[in-house]
Amino acid sequence: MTTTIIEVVPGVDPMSEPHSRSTKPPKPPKVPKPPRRMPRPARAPIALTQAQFFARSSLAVVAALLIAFVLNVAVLSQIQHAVAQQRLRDDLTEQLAAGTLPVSEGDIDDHLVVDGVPLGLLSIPSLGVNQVFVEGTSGSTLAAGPGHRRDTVLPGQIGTSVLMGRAAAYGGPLARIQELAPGDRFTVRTGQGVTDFSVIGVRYAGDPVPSAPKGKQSRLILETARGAPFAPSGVAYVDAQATSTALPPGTRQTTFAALPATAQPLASDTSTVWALVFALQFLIVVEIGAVWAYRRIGAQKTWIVFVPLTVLAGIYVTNQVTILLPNLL
Amino acid sequence: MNSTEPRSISRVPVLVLLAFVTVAIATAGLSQSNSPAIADDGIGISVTVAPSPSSSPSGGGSGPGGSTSSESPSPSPSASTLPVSNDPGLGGIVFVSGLSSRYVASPNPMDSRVSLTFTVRNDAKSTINASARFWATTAVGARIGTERTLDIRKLQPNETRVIQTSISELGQWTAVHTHVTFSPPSVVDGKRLSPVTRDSFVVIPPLVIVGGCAALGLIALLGFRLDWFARVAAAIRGIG
Repeated sequence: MTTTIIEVVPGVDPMSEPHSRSTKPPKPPKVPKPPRRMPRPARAPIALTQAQFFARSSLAVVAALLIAFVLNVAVLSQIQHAVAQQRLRDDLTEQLAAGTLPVSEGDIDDHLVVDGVPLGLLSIPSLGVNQVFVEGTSGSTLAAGPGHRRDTVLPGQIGTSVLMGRAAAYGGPLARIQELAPGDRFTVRTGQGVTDFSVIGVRYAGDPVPSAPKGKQSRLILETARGAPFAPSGVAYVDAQATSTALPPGTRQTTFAALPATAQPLASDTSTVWALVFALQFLIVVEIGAVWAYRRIGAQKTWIVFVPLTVLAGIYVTNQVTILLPNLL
Repeated sequence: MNSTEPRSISRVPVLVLLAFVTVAIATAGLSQSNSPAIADDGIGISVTVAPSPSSSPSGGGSGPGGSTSSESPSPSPSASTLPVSNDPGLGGIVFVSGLSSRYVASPNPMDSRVSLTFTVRNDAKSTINASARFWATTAVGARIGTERTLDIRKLQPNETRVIQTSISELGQWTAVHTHVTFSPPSVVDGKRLSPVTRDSFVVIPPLVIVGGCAALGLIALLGFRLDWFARVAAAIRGIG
């Protein structure tokens, strides 16, 4: 009888072939490949003069502001318009339910209706337009939605009414009104009810206007910029005639002669330049603070604190610049 | 340490703050002086509407909120506020829409095509024959693509007709202005008419440029990964 003694070693299978791994020779260490190209010598640090450093920093800030401006016009303004329309729609619904929606230039308390107050709902199904329009046609007012020129009667009332709207920025609510063909129909709801309109045609500046409405007729003119987006070449007018019964006109305190220049088509509203100055000051203060913090505190903490502040200041500045653009843009 | 240095440094923010406030106040004054009729709420005047018998908010039965009146119709703003030329245009008896442009995808990116739609309505008492000429220009006004002229024959009274055509060979001009000139008869129902032009703007996707950039990016990516690919191929050969 033969006895086999197997030595049990922890971690090694006793039934495996002994010394099976020792047959392969150990791999030689990898030899790193020689680089294809000789490494470039390290660049010598460029020493900028104070003037060069200032110029570079200024150009960087200007470039960042330009990018922020484009983002503001193309993206943020659309969001602002959507938010404003939601709020206006809430106000409009509430006032329609309460029966307090202004139908003249005075409100229910006999005070002059201020710019930005919702007056009604413009619905153009063929274009997918469903916008609350407000009183006033200045640039800042038209950021919220189409605006009613305050020297004209409300849409649906006897006479001629004018609604102006932007073509590109802030939602561009009236961007496609030139697609309206003669005979197309749309509606306007005001505090007096719903009025149906039929499109007469599209006009450009210089074209003869249709004959004035006769008797108790209601006419509506939609105005917006024409040409490439953000580069208007003129104003497009869409004339529409009410097909339902015209409503009594509301009292108007403002005449065309008293209409501010900022309420005219393609006018700029410079009444908020002071806000732009404050915004620029805020941006400069933030930049100075960032430089100070970078030198005293360090890059990481400066980045965390001042990037949101710089973005906020950039949005504030570019928003004020956007408001200065022509009101139909 | 010089005792005057911290004092001079502490003056800087105060001076800067003073300068900012001065500029802001000056600008605010300037903006107000430029537009004296504009208040913060965008209205130059704060007039209380004088109540009148016909303007009672609750009376008149003409609708809630605000006041209405049954005065004579407001004068049309067209007479005083809208630009009027001596050009007879369409004389108020023929009406047109704006021009609608739509990019049509083409298998040949250099032969870009745009579909154009235009509507005309005859409100005259007589049937008219007219023509519509369509063409396109670049952003700087250079003529591009083909030009189309369509005859609009026997447009009946109260008839609305949609005119549709397309312009091709627009290349890769990304920003394209399209135009149509509608030429009515010179005299209709005793009224003189003249041609009118309507414009539109359409974006043609720059497929060649975008495709070229994408191809260059792909080549660059492959170039960076070439060494990695070679090592994978060597490993596969080693396994084989």
